[in-house]
Amino acid sequence: MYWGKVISAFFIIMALTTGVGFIYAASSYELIIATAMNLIATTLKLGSRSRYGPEILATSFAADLHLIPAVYIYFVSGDAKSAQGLVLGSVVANIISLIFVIIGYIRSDEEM
Amino acid sequence: MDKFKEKNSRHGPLVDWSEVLNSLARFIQWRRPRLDIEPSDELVQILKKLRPPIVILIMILTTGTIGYMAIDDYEPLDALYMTVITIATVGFGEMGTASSGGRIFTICLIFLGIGAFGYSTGLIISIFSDGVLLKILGERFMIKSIAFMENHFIICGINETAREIVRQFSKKKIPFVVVDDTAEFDRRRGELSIKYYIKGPPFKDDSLKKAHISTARGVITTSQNDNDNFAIVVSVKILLEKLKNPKASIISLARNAENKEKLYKIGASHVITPYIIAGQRALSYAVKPEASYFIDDIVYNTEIDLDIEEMLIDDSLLHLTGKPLLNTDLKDHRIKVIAIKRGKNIDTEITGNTTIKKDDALIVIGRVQNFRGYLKKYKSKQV
Repeated sequence: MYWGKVISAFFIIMALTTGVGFIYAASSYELIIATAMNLIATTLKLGSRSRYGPEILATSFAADLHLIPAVYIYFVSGDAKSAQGLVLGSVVANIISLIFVIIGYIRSDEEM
Repeated sequence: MDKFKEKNSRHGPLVDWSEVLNSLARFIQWRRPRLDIEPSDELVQILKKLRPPIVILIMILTTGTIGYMAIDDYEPLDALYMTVITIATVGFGEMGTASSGGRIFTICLIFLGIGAFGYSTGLIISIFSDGVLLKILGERFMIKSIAFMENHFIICGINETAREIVRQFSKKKIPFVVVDDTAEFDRRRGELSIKYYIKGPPFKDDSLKKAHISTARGVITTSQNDNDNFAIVVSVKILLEKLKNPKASIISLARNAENKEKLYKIGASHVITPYIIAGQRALSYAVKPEASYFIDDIVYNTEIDLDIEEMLIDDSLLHLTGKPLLNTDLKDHRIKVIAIKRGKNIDTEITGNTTIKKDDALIVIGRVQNFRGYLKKYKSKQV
């Protein structure tokens, strides 16, 4: 088992699921965890030479740029609706990221 | 207005927009050039080194923030602030009343956090401060900038002879890349304001590929040691064949006259023996000084707007072939043909009725601006 891929996929999925959790329950804990997981997922993609690495990094950056303003809006302005909208955007970015990861795994399996 | 038009038509437009756009494209690297060699994965390795400290920092900050929020009901911003001042050992004091649970959590955070924080920040600072990252980024940018070049020369090594070549190329605005790995290269590069360079041994394939040898017009090696020249000529010859650039010439210096023939045999296009050239020049100045100075001025003096150039009749200049010279548009650009090289023969008896054939090399004399304008007009049409 290739643990690097497990850890990388774990953080993307965690960011996605906690993001969905925040949209459903608007819990401040979930928002913080979703942001942290997404930042870690982005960091793990730095310097990645895997198939679709640049695309996954780009979608991860897109998700970060939704989550960081969402944290600010939720905790400073207190606007939960706008924050949920932004988190929804990050969820979409993470779904795209996950699709790239799955396609990458399938294609690397085919080549083996 | 007419005068303005006349000036523009003679010297080209005041702003060459295609050149401006090309420069912009080069700067933002919009047009991705075809590289002879992929950049090394040193940058990837450095970025990989950055991963653990950043992940550790994010984890500590998240754990601390959530811990203070859950245990002591801190506001998220207060909890983050409390975490930062705790692990950074600032010790500004607690943000509110701390419960027993909160104090135990702070003790754990101090023990785990300070070490991890110190390790992470130390590693990040060392990666950025040792200059390796900047060096790698600089080299990647240089390789990509060079990859946009075409018809450039590669100068291998920078000694006194190469310095003069660099000066002449700079004056005549001929594109070139210098490849050198000597200790004093940085100083010399600064003195000569060399824009494009590769730091590496000139006989290594990687260095020559970084200098984009596949689109080069020629490679010049001027080492004082003939063995170095042999090594470079062989490497360049093999690489040019591999990268399918047979038109590029290889110009080498030979200190020893008997090495001249050997250098030709292993693939050099032109071999220069300094003693022979110096002797011939001395004779020329002794017998016909004024004619020698005149030719020197035309060829080397950039203050005189007159130059002798070589014009190869390729596909872009086919309109010149098959008709008397008098009926071509060369005279409209005030370009005078003084000789035609056809195969190994040189025809110097040029009249208005002389006809030009494909693959001829015309030796022409004319104003630099006119010559460049003429070539640009037909080369750009071909593109």
